[in-house]
Amino acid sequence: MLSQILLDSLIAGSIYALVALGFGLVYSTAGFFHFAHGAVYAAGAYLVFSAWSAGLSLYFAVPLAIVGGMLIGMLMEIGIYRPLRRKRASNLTLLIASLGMFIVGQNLISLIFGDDTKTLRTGLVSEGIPILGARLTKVQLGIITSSVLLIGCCWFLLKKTKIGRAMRAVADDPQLAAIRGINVDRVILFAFAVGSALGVTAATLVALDSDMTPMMGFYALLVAVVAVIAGGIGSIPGAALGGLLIGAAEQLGAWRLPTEWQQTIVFSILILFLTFRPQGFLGRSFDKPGTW
Amino acid sequence: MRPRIFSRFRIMVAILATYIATQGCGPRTAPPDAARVVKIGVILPMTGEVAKYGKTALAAIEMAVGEINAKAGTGGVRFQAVFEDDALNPTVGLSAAKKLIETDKVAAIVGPLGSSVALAVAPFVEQRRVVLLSPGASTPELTGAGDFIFRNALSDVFEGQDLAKFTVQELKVKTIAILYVNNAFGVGLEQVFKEEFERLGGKVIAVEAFAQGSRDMRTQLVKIMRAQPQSTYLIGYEEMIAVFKQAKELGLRTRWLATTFLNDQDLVGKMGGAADGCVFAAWDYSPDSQDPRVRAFADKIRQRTGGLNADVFAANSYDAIYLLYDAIQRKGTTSEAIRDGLYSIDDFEGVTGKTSFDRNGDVMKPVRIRTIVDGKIRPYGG
Repeated sequence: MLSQILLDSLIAGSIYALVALGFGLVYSTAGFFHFAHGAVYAAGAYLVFSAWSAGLSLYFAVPLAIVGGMLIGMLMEIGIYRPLRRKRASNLTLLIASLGMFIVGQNLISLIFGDDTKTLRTGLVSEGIPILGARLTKVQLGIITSSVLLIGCCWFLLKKTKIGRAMRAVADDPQLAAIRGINVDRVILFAFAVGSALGVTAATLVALDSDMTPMMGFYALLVAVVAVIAGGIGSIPGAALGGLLIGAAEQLGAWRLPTEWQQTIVFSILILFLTFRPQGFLGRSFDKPGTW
Repeated sequence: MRPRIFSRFRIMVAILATYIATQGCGPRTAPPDAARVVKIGVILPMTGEVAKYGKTALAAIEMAVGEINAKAGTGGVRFQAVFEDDALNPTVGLSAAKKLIETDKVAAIVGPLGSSVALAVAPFVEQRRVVLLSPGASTPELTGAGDFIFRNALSDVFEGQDLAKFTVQELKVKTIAILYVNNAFGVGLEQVFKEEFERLGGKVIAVEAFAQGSRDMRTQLVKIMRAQPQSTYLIGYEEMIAVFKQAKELGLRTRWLATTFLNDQDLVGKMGGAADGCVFAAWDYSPDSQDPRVRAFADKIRQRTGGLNADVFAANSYDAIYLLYDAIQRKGTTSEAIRDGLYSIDDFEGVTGKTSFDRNGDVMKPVRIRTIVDGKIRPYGG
């Protein structure tokens, strides 16, 4: 049975890593908590649902939803965050605006689609493939492989491409980056696009595995925040690592403790990190330059 | 400086004024102008896990109120219903009850559907001497909640005991695991079932809980798999979709039992066959009944809600309005009179069959054992 728990940790961790990665990208470049990421996340799943219910096959519906999610994220940046930044709004203001958009977004989804569970199922549910004493479904295998692939792509993007270098520069010191000729606004917009795409991908995978409700973004968002803090503020690999850590802690913790304590475990991790190591695993301590 | 502050102030005043002006607005039935208007508060879960039942119950109540008001001649009793959402959240439900009693001054409240919300609301409503009639709360704890607290939903004491008896005596199950939603409904039913099951000689070998609204129950299921029970009793709402699916995927082999919440073909349709073979106790009401009164009711609800089935909560809500009407005809329109009227009802016939209240404000209704075959709900053994 332990092998199943370990496998479940990997599956949960993979999802959380993706969500945290998307959230972390925006946080590093734009410098504030983009809570509305949770709304983009849920919207993504529901976009897939809409396209799929309208008759499109999932092979078309999913990329369509990813593009849709990217547009929503970018619209949030252009329509709300950028004007606020122009007015020299504080990070707190941006956070509150973000929270507002999250609430509106989630409730809009509720209004349009209803609160009941929606599924992307076509056929009957079947047993998972037996593997090392545990069971793995095809969707779950997809989750793990997608996650590894996307994290790898992100790494490549950030380390080996020009825009990736620009993102790291903006994350490190936006003013210096601007002086060096980097269009900070454009970099931030790009971060929103990539971050949202990652979020929508994660939400789609979750929806394929465990169906969707309008409230699905809330817990994912909280996990993303904890993962980014635990993994290290300003560190992208840290966000992914944080996601994995939380996935493992959640599943392994519930193995030994009563399952009602699952969410408590996640937030205990947050409190522990904030108390003893606020810069997280891989984050910069606040006087050294950023680690990527 | 001056003009800027002025315009911001103006905006704030405008917003405040709009807010105050809209306080009167909100879903409610058209206020009749006859002298005998009785205000009924309605608390339903319009959002949250069981929003679907809130929707059908709302349609049923609006229908009943409309029918009663249409039949009332001059001087007849008319209802004016004021609707509030509790989101299946006890805190929100309590605020709703406060608002209905203090601001709207309702004579009686129909609702809530959720046991957890009902338990939070009951003490306050009892203290204010306003009648509460719940068409859905099934927790045994509501039985003694007060003189003014009624329900036409069956107490879980009956459902839990009947299913336990059936499981031991008919299904010959000796070991069982219980997987329940961690709120008043789940906890109450788990306790009733466990007590009766063990009293009859069975053994409960694993007990796991999940939070209301969870969608990942894999760890709980793995723990249950480890215990290898002959049967597993699942208590939950829409979380059941995730449970059945994940259990099947994990290869958990057990005989599933469930509650009346599974008695919903729309819900079963989302299970992808994973709930086949599950045996459950259902409150004796089916929207597919051949009874003409039920069929007419079900058709109208389907029309009003755009295709939703008239589930037992809609049926109970519909009957609840008529029960209040009956009570008012008997004794009067004050809250005390409505209370006395409800206690005195002994021959009420509604879409859910015969209803009468015992001295605790509870009802006795039959429990039927049903099962799922090929994704369709069927009577057990039928």
